[in-house]
Amino acid sequence: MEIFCFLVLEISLLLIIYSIATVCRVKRQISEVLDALNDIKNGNGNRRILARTNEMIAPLIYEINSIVISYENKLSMFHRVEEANRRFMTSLSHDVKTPLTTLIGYLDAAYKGTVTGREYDNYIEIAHRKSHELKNYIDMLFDWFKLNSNEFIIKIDTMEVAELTRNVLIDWIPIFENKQMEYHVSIPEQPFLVRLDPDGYTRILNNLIQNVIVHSYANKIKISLCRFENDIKIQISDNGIGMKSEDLKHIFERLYKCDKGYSKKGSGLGLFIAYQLTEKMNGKIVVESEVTKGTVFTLLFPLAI
Amino acid sequence: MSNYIIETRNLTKTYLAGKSVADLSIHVQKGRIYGLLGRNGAGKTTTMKMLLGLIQPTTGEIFIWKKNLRGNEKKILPRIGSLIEAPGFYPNLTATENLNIFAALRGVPNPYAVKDALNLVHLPYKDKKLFSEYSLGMKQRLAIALAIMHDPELLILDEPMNGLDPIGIAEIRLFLRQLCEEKGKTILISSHILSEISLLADDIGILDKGVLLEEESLAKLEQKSSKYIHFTISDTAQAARILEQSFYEKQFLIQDDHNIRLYNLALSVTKIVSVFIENGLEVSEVYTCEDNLEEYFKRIIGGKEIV
Amino acid sequence: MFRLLQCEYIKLKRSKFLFIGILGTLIVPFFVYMKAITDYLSNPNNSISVFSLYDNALMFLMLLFAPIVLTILGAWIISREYIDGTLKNIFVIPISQITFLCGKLFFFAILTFMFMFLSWLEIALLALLCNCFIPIAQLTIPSFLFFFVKMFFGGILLWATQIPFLYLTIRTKGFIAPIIAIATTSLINVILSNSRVARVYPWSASYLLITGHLSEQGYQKEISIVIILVICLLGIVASLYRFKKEEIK
Repeated sequence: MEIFCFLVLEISLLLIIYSIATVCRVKRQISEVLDALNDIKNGNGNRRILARTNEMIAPLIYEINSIVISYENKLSMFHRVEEANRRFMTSLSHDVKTPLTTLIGYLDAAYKGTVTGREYDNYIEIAHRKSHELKNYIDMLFDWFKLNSNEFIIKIDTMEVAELTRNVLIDWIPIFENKQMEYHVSIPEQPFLVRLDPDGYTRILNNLIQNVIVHSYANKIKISLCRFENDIKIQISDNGIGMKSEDLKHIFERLYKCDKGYSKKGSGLGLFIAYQLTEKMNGKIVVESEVTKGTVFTLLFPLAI
Repeated sequence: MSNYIIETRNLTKTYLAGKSVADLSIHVQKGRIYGLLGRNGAGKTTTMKMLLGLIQPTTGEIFIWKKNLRGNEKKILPRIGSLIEAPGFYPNLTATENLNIFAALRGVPNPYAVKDALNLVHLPYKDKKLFSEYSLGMKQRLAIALAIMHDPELLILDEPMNGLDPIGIAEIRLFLRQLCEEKGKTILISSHILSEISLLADDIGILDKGVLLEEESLAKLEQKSSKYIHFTISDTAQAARILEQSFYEKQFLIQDDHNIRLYNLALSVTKIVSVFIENGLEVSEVYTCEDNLEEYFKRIIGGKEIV
Repeated sequence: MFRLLQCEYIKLKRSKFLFIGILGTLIVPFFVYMKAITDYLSNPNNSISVFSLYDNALMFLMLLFAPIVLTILGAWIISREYIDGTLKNIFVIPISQITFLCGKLFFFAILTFMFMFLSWLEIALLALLCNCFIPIAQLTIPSFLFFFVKMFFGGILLWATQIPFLYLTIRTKGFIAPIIAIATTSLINVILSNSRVARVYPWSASYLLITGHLSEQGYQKEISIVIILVICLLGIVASLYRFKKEEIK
């Protein structure tokens, strides 16, 4: 009989101790949670509250964390726009100042009469060329800015890509001839339907071809279009100086310039914009190159079924 | 400017053999990656261990989130993820079981934290391979998974790329940059490999024999250490035109109306200056800077090689 | 604390040492029964009794086997943290050194009780089995319970006297020293088995206390208890102090 009472007493004592311990633990956890919530309220959206999966308070904690994360994600969109703004402003000041000042140099010299006659005409021609290059660069800069702040509106439509490509190339042919570049265009007659934004696609092609003309020092360019399994494959190849394989890895990264020079503005941007636009249209872009032999850019877009 | 996540004041650690860390005062800012660069034995790991409370400093103070570390460990340490030296896990358990142990001890921010962490480092979830059978690269990945599993705001990583193959290094580098840029986390990494740090860090602290030789943002360091000729001149617009026309030179950068930098060191400085003067420009200052980042570091640390 | 114990339990998974421990529990009952059966076969008049079985078992266990097996287990659960380098991951959680070591000591106590319980159970089961072939005297529930209580207290004293070897583990961060120490101790146990010194030598004193031999020989229990308590407390304090003081190199 006594043993029974003793056992009952023991068990109730243990239960009481256990309950008190649990209440203390939960109290402590609640004060930790309040601490963390205060921190989050003050703007630290990266704060997480930790809980073990089998605790009483765990589901509540996990819900709080997921709410905070979803708000943080929305905020990070804003941060990205802010970051794009900042980079844009830095680019503007760094990369525009030099060509603009150089342009002013030429125009000043012409205006002040430092040069005359044929040199004067030469300077005016140089100034004309430089101002257009600058305009192109600033256009690309704005494109990049819009792409990164998600203001770039892509209107995806089912397009006939062969016809579109032909139209883009028609504008380039006089430029090829002007630069005395041999060009081969191989686009089949049959229609291929692809879902893409015509403006974006035009920009991609323009940026890639511009890259060939400005950087590859090639005298032959070949543009081809064909079907490759379930995709449409567009290739732009040249016989220029090519690129080293370690440069190839970074070529689509922001503002990567192979020749590390400060003269040819916009090359890094052009390829980067082409890359971003391609990705936005569910396409793929790859590059292969061999030094002194040439480079091939390949675009792949899925066919619209 | 007190936006420092980590700030140490005169942190010192003395052993019988000498001072392992001497009077260290580093400042790690929020949302940036701080690279602690130094040769092997410079004191990087010792510093990180002190920041985590694994070693007690001899003198000096550590402030994390503006609170003194000593006495506040219970509030500060759960918000930090760390990777120190070689990965330490239980060899008779699988990766998931190992992470589950730490999840049970520390707590997790959501019920699938272990699974997400393993996915992020490309390790299989709930597979049968024991930790003792892991390759060095997999062990290192598991250590990284442990560090990020509880979604900490601050990461302290000691040579995280150790043992990874080049693809793994690129993946982790991209991953760390994303954590920093997109999620605003702060990261302190240490390395003895300059090329890795320069690809990753925003700020760099150079440590040698326990002393912090320099602490500077990477951008400023790169500016300090490229090869160029600097001219201070009366009219940079005309200077630019002259460089293009007379020297066929296009590799220059105009900083403002009077400062221009030429990045081609092959040209003769005296010739350029004389042509400038011939054209009516006034040249008030010319200097040449011939460092690249690696030579700059070698100069500062004064050693024979940085790997 | 409970979490720590849970984690210790998970860490035992697939480990060879646990297997060794369980094997260890099987050895003593086996020996005891072999001895009892051979005795009976040579002298059928003396029946095997539960009391004699447990008595012999306790002697083998507490003087020889239990210390060795338990020290192996205890040294392993502590030294593995050093060998695997996991301490740096645990302390940054943060878990204080003292809490962690207390968890280990607590778990070690659980292992000790499991070990003793398994031994008790095996002897009981084998007795029931053996009874089918050879009659065993005193095969009653009270006698089994009586020895259950004895083995329970034996477990407590075993735990208390193993703590210094755990301190050795912490001190040397390894395995070998505590095992050599416990082997030496057990050997001394055997040498001292019938001498007067046995009652002040903690490891044999615990055996004498449990089996009541101490009171039989007319010595006072208190001295032995105090000695055992003292080395237990010293061991705990030294271990905690050493563990806390050490830095993670």
